[in-house]
Amino acid sequence: MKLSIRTKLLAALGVDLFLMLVLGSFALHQMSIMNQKADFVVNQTILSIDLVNAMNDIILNYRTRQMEYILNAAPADKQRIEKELLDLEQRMDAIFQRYNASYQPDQTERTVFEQVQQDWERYVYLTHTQFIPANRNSNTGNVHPSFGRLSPLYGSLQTNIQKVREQSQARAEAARVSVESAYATSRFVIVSETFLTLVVSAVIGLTLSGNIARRIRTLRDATVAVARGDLDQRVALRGSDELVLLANNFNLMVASLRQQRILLEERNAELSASLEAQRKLMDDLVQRKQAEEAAHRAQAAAEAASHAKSMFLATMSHELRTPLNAILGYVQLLHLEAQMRGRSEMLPDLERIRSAGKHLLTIISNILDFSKIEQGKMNVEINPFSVDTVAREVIGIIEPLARNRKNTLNLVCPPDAGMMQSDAGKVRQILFNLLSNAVKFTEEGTVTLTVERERHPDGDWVQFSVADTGIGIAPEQMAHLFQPFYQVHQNRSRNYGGTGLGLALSQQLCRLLGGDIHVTSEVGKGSVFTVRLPACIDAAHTADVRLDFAHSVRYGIPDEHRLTTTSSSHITTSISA
Amino acid sequence: MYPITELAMQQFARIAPNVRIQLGVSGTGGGFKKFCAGITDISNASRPIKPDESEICRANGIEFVEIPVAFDGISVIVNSENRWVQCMTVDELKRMWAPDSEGKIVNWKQIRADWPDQPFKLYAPGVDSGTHDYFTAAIVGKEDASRSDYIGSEDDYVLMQRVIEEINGIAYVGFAYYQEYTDKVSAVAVDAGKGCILPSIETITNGTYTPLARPLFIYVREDRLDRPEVEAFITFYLNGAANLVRAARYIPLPPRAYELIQQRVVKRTTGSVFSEGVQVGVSIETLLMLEER
Repeated sequence: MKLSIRTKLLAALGVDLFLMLVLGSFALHQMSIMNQKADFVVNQTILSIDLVNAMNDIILNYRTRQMEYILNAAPADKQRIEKELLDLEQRMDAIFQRYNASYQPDQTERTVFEQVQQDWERYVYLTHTQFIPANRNSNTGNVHPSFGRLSPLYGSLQTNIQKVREQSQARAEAARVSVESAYATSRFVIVSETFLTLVVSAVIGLTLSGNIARRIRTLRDATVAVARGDLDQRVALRGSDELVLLANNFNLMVASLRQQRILLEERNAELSASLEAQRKLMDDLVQRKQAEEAAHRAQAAAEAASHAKSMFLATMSHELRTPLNAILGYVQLLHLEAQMRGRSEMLPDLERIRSAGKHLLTIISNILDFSKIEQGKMNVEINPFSVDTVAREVIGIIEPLARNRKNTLNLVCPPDAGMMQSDAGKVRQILFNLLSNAVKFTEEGTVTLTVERERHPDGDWVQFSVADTGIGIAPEQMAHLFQPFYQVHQNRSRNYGGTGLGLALSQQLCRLLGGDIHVTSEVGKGSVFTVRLPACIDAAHTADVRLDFAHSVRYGIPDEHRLTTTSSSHITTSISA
Repeated sequence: MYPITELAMQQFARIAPNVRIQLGVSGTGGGFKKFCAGITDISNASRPIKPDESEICRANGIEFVEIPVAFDGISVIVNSENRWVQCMTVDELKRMWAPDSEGKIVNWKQIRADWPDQPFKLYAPGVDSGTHDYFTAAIVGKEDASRSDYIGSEDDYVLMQRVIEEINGIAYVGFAYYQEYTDKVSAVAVDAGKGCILPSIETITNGTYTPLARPLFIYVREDRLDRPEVEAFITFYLNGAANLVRAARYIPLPPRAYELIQQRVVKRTTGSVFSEGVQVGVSIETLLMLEER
């Protein structure tokens, strides 16, 4: 299969020619064998049969002449017959010579022939030594016994001549059989080889044409497939002839088509990827827009909810404070009356009512303040005041509480603390909240208020630090410290009391005054709350603070829904508390 | 008998060229018929004269002198290409030739199982011959008792010729005939109970070739001995008997026997010593004893 189609066809023709040549030469060979055998039959067998027949004739003649010799009494006849006998003997000799000269018998036949020759010689000898002398003078007409004694020899001669004839015939038969078998062989071989030639030609022809047709079909199928668009087609033909060349070129063509299609597909993919990116961008934009709108709506809702809450709280606080003030006034009156009438046993109970009322009033005030801040209705009254004075006032108020809890209360205030241009009431309120918290969470400890003044070219800052040696605050609680209604020690809230609004309010107030509040603490050792306030502010500050506050609300609780529920729960809690 | 007499005649012709002897060939029985009818003067016989033949001679006034001249061994012969028959027992020979076997025993295989399954062809001297008489007496047990489906001839040479020509042929002939053509035919050894014995001068002389060994005779008319040529021929015959017999390939008698026979001729003792005709198993010794009696 490594040859071109042309070479294959030529080779097939060559094979056929070769087979036919072999056939021809074999037929010639067989014909020459048959010819030889036929020659043998003509030259040898026919000759042999002729010679044998001649011998037989002579012997018969000889025997007949002997009988004549016995029967004929006349000497003249006897002489004639003697001559005839001699003549026959000469003819026999001639035949023997011819036999020996021109005939090539096989070994068996030659042995038998030699026997014939010997018998003949003996017969002739006995004829001349016994038969003729015994009968020359006899005229009885009786068959003389000397004739009889030749009989066995005669029998032997005839038998042996018959054998020679049989041998000769056997050879002729053998020759005939051999010619026949040569004929049969050649017929068989010629027929077989003709058949073989046909078969070989057919096989070669069918194989070649089948092979070519099959491969052309493969190519055609591949072309059809490619035409349909199946570019993965690859034609694999074995061999190296013209068809394989064609197949290889076809494969190259398909490969090139495939390459181009791959390029097209890549281009396509890039295009659709970019389209997709654009679509995503559009989606993002739309989503962001929607999210922003949702956020705006949420903020608006939150602000509206906060506003509604603050309004509710302010109204409720005001409505609560009026009867509470009346209750406190009448408890004061009852207290004075009990003292005057000497009903001292009622005094502790009255005192408890007054204390509880005061506490309730404080809570309501805080809530009111808180809601005012949220509503932006907190008024800031800016006046110049002495820092030292305010600090001492607050210490004075806290003094009795500290004593109750066996705490030592210190004030560290430098002489140059100076004056502040701010809202003194709010500063007082902040300090009061921080100090009361410190005293509340400290027992048999020390609470120290430290005042410092920082001087800056663009305005002084006043720093108030409240340090205690109390129970401290855990780090995870620090984050919630300034949330409204959050109580650090909720499980101990009974021990300590409070509204949960103190720190949140303080922070809001600090910010209202343009400052801020920080805390550091360690559980079991105590806390330090530090408030930094600008020494001098004007009215413009208050608006900024309110904005900041709203901002803090929004970022503290991002989810709109939770915002409302949490705030309402705070509200419920605060109301029920 | 013929070969001896022929030889004797040829030799006698040289010393007495004027004497013309006519020699005819027939069987012993045929010969005796002519002899006792007075047609012939001398009759050869391959057996002793039978009592009834003697009677015919006497009735015709013919007295004879019996002269044993040689010993013979009837030889059973087969074709020289017959490879299977080497030896036959007397029983087998009997089975082959008995009258009962006629038309029944026709195949070699019937004689001996390992012989070929082919029909044999029997050739034998005619019923006139002494050989036939002697063979039937010796083998079958009764004179002339023989199957008749065989090809017969008074001429043993013709029998020989047939056996030469026919591979399945078997015949019995006088020892001399066989001796003349030993290269053309094969003799069959005969087993009479003491092993297979081939006919030969030695086995016939020493009496081991039995029962087919027998004496041969010439019978001469007593009154013809008066004729000088007959007397001369007989004398010539007997004087040269040993040589003639040997030359004719028969077995000569001991010299002592020839002397005794010579005396019988001289004395013209007539009649046969074999008063019972054919006797089987007459050895040379027996013959000598009979002559001396």
